[in-house]
This record gives sequence, structure tokens and C-alpha cells, in this order.
Amino acid sequence: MQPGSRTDVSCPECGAPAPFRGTTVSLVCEYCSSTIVRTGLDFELLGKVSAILDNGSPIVLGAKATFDKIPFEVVGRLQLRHGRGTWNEWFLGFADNSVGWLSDAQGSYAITRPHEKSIVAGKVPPFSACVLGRALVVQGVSYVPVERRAATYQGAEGSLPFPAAPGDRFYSVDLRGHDGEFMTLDYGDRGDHQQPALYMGRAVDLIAIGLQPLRKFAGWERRA
Amino acid sequence: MFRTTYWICAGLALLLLALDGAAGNYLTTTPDRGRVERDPAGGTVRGAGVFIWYGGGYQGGK
Amino acid sequence: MTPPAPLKLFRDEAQVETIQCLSCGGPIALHSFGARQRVVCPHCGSTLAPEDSGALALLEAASRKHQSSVLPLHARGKLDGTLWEIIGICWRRCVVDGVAYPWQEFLLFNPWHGVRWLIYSNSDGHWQLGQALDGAPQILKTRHHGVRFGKQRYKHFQGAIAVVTYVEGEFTWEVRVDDKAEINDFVAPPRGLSIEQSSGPDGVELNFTVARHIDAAEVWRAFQQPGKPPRSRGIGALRPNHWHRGRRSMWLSCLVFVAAWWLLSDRLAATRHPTIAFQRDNIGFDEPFAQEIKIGTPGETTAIEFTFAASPLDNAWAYADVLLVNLANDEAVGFGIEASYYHGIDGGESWHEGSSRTTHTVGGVAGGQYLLQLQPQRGGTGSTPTEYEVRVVQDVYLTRYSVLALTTILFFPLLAWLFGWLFERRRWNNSDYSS
Repeated sequence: MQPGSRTDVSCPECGAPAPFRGTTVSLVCEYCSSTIVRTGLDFELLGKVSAILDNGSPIVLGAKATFDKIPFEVVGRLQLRHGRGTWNEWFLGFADNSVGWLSDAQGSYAITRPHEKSIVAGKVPPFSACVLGRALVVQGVSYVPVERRAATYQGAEGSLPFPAAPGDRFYSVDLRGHDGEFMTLDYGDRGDHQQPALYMGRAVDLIAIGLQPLRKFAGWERRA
Repeated sequence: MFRTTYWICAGLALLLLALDGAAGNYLTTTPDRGRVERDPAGGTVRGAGVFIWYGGGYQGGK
Repeated sequence: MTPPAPLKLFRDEAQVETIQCLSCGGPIALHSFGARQRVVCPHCGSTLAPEDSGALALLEAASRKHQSSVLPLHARGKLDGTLWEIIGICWRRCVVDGVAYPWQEFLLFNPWHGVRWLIYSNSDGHWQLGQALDGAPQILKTRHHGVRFGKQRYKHFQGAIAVVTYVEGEFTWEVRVDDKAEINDFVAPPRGLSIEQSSGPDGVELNFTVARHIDAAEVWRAFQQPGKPPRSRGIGALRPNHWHRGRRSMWLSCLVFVAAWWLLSDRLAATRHPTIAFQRDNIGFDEPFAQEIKIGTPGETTAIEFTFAASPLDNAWAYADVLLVNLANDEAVGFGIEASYYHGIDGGESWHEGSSRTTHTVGGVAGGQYLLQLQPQRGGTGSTPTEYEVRVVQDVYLTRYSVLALTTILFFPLLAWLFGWLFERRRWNNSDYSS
């Protein structure tokens, strides 16, 4: 039982237990796929909105690992779609009650943690003006934008820190550093401002960080 | 392989320098060596006989 | 009410499937477990793409013949301790100076480790194993265009436009025949870094790949292919320079050897005390010369320098058969020695050759009493000599030992340096920077 989680919440649709954590704002009921959103002290039903596609991810809800010596659990998934297909952003709950995201796209994985918005506020271009390949300097470190995505919501499962619904748009830019640093600028649902949310971290290898359990694949054996 | 050959050759060359540099046994051209005997037919020179090569092998000249 | 069992979204074992090509009806095996963005039928080349629902729909029908690649689709091989399966094959080529250079890219897939690329160059048979870079390279402001990532610097090797010419299998990106990309390769053998730029639906797309050289034999072993891999020619851009391996230890040991050489040479020179064992001049040519002399120290072996000088020498020669007889055991050392001097004028130019004084070095002379015997001869057209001089110096310093040692010590590292340099020159002959 995670500290700050409530054991008395039930899904308004089907009555199954809906374990909200301290950081959870929306939870997809794993029994009936309805989305429950917490607003203040109330819990609202948002309807059945999960349309997650199986894009072959080896990550499953409930998997655990350690990043920078802090254990975490995969507690939610947000699946997004952009011009070139879908990818997953896995919501991580760390043992010290902090959060993070595990980006899962085309076999590349990266873990980022939220940082103070003020570090980049006003110092980075708006989404529409970000040029791929043109480096930005943040806190003295040079980052190169490598991916710009105007994505739409595809589906969700588990716990998420914000309510996500069909039609939601997500503007983000991925940047990479010269020593393996990874940064995501999350512009939210608009591309014309200069106050994105800031996430920083690095690329990871799932086996190397010991993520367990991993999904099974027919015809492939996992060595212990 | 190349490096090992190098170390062996350099080691041998230094060993040669250390052990035979004074005596000069190996790196000098070998003139004819052998036993000699006194020439029974020749005359004496300053009291010593003229030596010729044992077995008559060395006839002199180039 | 009892809630239904919880849905386990995609947590069961993922399955492979085989579908029918929507254009030619041929079987297409799907081994990427949903990670695919494009599926190209191996038989006819038609492209299928997943729709929003995830189902595959025909994007572009085609009818091209299947092209055989050096490794087959769905072959599995173990590289760097991980098992990989070839799920897609893509042929690309670039044109440099009017010559087309095709290569084959094998998309390697592992459900937990992601993707890698195995690249085979048709023109020279060399292989590379690459993966997406976990970051972005930094452009360096060096004279020779270069980049850095992490602790490694790479030098620009070549830039070209690559065009896709053939595709089959499953891909994690929207690949298409005739796709163009500008590729710049940077090398730090055995590693390399490539920067690829192409225009996609969202504007410019940037891709960074880091690769390493891999031997054809290792690939063949990993994928358990029969027979021998195709032969490679020339020097691949990433092929490691074997003359550079162990370079540091070679030069370090050279330094140690030179230090030892210096000490030993110095000691040898310092312990040599050359002295005259015997000297006589004004010796006549009419009869053999014999003299008992003492050379060296009994029990020790020494090296001697024998000097023979005749005068006057003017277009004439003097020769002596020298015998040194060890009086203790009747063992002797014998050699011939000649002094000559000729000069003249030939077509207005005067020349001269020879020397009136010559020396001969004898080593391994055991110390003791010796009989020195000379049988002199003389001749020539000019004034023949009337007398000669003999000198025996013992305990001489033989420079040859020092010279041989130093030459050996320096020869190998310099040879390795030369071969390494020639190797690099051959490598860079294939680059944009060949002279």
C-alpha cells in the first residue's frame, strides 16, 4: 500500500476498487476501462476512453525497477499518437513519493523526472519555433532538439497525474545532450508559449535497470 | 606477435651488448682460425720458426 | 454486483502472426509484435501500414521481384550477448563520383532490447553493427570537421545522399523506396557515428547512429550461416588498425630499451681502456716479420685493432698475411690486410682511391702470449713502398654492438609506425579526403 493512497475509492461504473495514489489525478479502472478523475475531494466518471493499441511494448503495469538508486513502480500508461504512429509514456511512482516518466518509442527508452519550470521559462523557444538540430543551452549544458511531436491522446491505463481524454493534444519536444542527457519540454496543449514543463533524465536499457516483470513474447526466451 | 618479436630481438641485442661487447666474439668477422705448426722447410726468423696452417689449408693471399 | 475480472491490457504473451499480403496474397510473417510502422511484402514489394485501429491496410501496391540479401529475413543471431532477429531488410545506395555504392541494412529486433542495424557494404564486403545514439553529437570546431559524443571524438569521413532502392519485411519507421537522406559519416575506428537528415511529414528528421566495426566471420558465426562469408576487399572505414593496437606499450618498452642501451653502452665504453700492445715501424719487405707479443690479460678475452701502414705509397700496394699464434695452445688467427693508394687524372678530373693506412678488427682474442707473424708483399706501377708499420691496440671499444642494439630497438617501433600510417592512408583513400 503506497503512502497517501486511498483504499476506499470504488469505480462509479462497475464498483471495483480503484486504488488512487497520492499523485494520481486520473485512474483507468482496470476492470471496465472507465476513466475516473479526482477533482479536489470528488471522483468523477469520464467514461470509457481506453483505446490502447498493442505496440509490442515489453513494459507492463506493475513492473518495478531502480533508477539512480531509487526504486520505482510503473503505475500508469499514456498512449499518444502522432503522424508516425503511437508511442507510450509510462507514469512512474518512486519510493520517495516523487514521480517520473518512462518514454517508450521504437525500442528506445528514457526515464525523465520533473524539474522546476523556471529553469527554462522564457529561455526556450515556443514549440512552433523549435528547430531540430539547433542546440539550446540550459544551465550551461548544450541540448539538441531531435524530435518535435504534436500528438493526440490514444488511450490510457492505470494512474496518471492529469486527466487525459480523447481529443487532448500534447505538444512536446525531445532534446538530447552530448553526454547522454535526455530532456523533454512539455508544452501542454498549446504550441505558442515559452513556459513548458521540464523533464530531465537519460536513456535507459530496460534489462540494465532490472525492470521486472517484463512481457513475454512467443518464440523468445528470457534468460534470468 | 610483432610486439613479442620486437621484445625478443631488442632483448637479444642488449644482451649481446652487455655480455659480448668487451670480448667481441660474435660481431667480428671471422678470420681463419685453427691450429698451426711450424714450417719444417722454412728458415728461422728472429729465432722463431715460420708457422703455417695445420693441414696446409690456408695458403695465404686473398 | 460482482465486478468482472480485470482486463489485462497486453500483458499476456505477445504472439506472432502470419497474414496474407493484401496485394499479392503471399504469406507475410509478422515478428515485431506490434512495434511496426510499415510492413513490406517480401514477394511483391507492396507496403502495408497500420491504421488507427492497429489493423494493417494496403498503403501502396507494387510488383517487384524478391531480391536476395546476404542474410535472410527472420534469421536470428547472437551479437554482444543478445539474440537478435532480422525483421526487415533495406537496400540503399549512394553515388560518389559517378560510381554507385549499394549496401544492405538489416533491421535487428529483440523484444526487450529494441532494435539495431547490421550494415553490409556490397562494394567492399565490410560489416558494421549500429544502434541509435543515446544523445546528440556535438559539432567540433576543428580543422578537420569532426564531432564529439561522450568521451569519443569522431572525424568526418564522407558525406553522401542515400536513396532506398529495395525494402522487405517490417520496419519501425515509414520506410519507402526512393526515400532520400543526407548521411554524414564520422569515424574513430573501430567506432563510427552517422548523422542522417531527411525530410519527413513533420519537417526535417534527424537521426544519430553509433556503430562499430564487426568482422564478417563474427557475423557468420552469430547467424550460423553455412560456408564462408563474402570476401572483403580493402580497408573498411571502421576497420581497426591492428598496427595501432599495443602501440603505447611498444613505444613505452622502446623508451625502456633505449634507457638500458644508454646505460650499457656507457658502461662498455667506460670500461674499455685501449692500449698499444705492440708497435713497430720501419719494417722491411724482404723477409717475414715475427715478434712475440703479449695481448690482453690471461683468462680474459679482448678485441684488438690491427693497423698496417706502408710508405711511400703512390700508385702501389702493400699486402701482408698476418698470423697471430697463441703460444699456449698453438691456435692461431690469420687474416690478410692490404694498403694501397692510386691516383690519376681522367678526362680532366683527378681521382684517388685507397689509403696508405688500414686497420682490421679482430675479436675474441684470448689474453696471453702471442707470436705475431707477417708475410709482406708489395707491388704496383708507381713507387713501391720500402717499409711498413704495424700496430696492435688491445681492449678497443667496438661501436658495432652499440649500433646494432640501438638500430634493433628503434627499427621495430618505426616499422610499426610506418605500416600503421600506410594502413590509415589506404583507409582514407575511400573517404571524401583522398588525395
